[in-house]
Amino acid sequence: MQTCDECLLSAFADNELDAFTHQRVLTHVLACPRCAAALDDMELAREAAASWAPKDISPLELARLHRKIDSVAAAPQPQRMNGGLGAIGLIAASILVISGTWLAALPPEPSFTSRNTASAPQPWEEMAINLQVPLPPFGADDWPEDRIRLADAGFASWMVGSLERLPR
Amino acid sequence: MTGPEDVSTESSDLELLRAAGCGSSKAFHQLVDRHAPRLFRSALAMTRSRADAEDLLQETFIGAFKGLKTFDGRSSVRTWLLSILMRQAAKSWHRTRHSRSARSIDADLEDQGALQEDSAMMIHCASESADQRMDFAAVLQQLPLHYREIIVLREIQQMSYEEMAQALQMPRGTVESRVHRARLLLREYLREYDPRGQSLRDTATG
Repeated sequence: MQTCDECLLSAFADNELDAFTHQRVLTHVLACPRCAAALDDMELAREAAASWAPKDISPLELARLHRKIDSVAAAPQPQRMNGGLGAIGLIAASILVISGTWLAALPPEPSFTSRNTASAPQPWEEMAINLQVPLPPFGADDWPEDRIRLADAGFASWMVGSLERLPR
Repeated sequence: MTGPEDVSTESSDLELLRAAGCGSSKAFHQLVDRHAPRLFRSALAMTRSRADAEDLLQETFIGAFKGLKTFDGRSSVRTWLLSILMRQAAKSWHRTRHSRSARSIDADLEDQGALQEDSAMMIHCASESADQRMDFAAVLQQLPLHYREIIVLREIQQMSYEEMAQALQMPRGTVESRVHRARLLLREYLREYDPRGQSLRDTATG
């Protein structure tokens, strides 16, 4: 360990390194005061944890634990479906419910009469079909200015007129 | 093959677990007697009071009882029980996080009633004004949950890095870096009780 890799120090202190790495870290620690001090600090924290000595579980607490387990064991267990079949059934039922809900929410198909009416062009459609304003060819840079303005104006007035004719 | 009731105090953890899975309550109770004391120590380290620790221990063993058939044998029974304990502790911590107020170490010292009922490791730190007593468990409570888990498994349960990786279901590399960072943080908190930077070795009492 040429540079100080503190992360290795914990594993070194816990004897969790392979033999080769352990030796490398040991060699480094012997030559590096900073890492030696860090190891020392780590040892103190470990000692503090190791010295912690809370009161063990009491016989009363243990007895309560056993009683609790017995009460859970004695409680009726919920019936579990046969794993695979139950899951498939649940998925199939969910798909049916979702499909049914979706189908019920679909708008009704337009009637034959309304389709016939729709097949006749609307006034704005007729206008668009019959629009005589020539449009500039794609990419044309040298089209006369007045013709470009005319095409734009005609298109704009067609758009506005169509919007005004729309039923509110 | 061991039958449900063919268990004795010499039966291995695995034999007891298998017998319990076949319906032997005697086997499960034996497992509880064998592992409860050590698990209780970890539960104390993960919680703020003895009552909470007892609840956590009960939830752990109830979870183990209900999940007997899920044990796949890839880890030891002890590691499996500890992983259940850690999961239950995390669930409990998330459940109560909104009701917890931020507490500094000094605030915990002032309100000893909220801490462990028994007097745990008391480290006397000399200061200019008076001796300051520190409860190691209280310091542990200051650590973020994921660092506290690591300290409990490493320093209290003395688990190997491999076992910790299995218990916490994380890569070994993550365990290594967490162990290191947890110790750094613990070291900082322990130092707060000795502002003159004195070695804790000189002031620690056994």
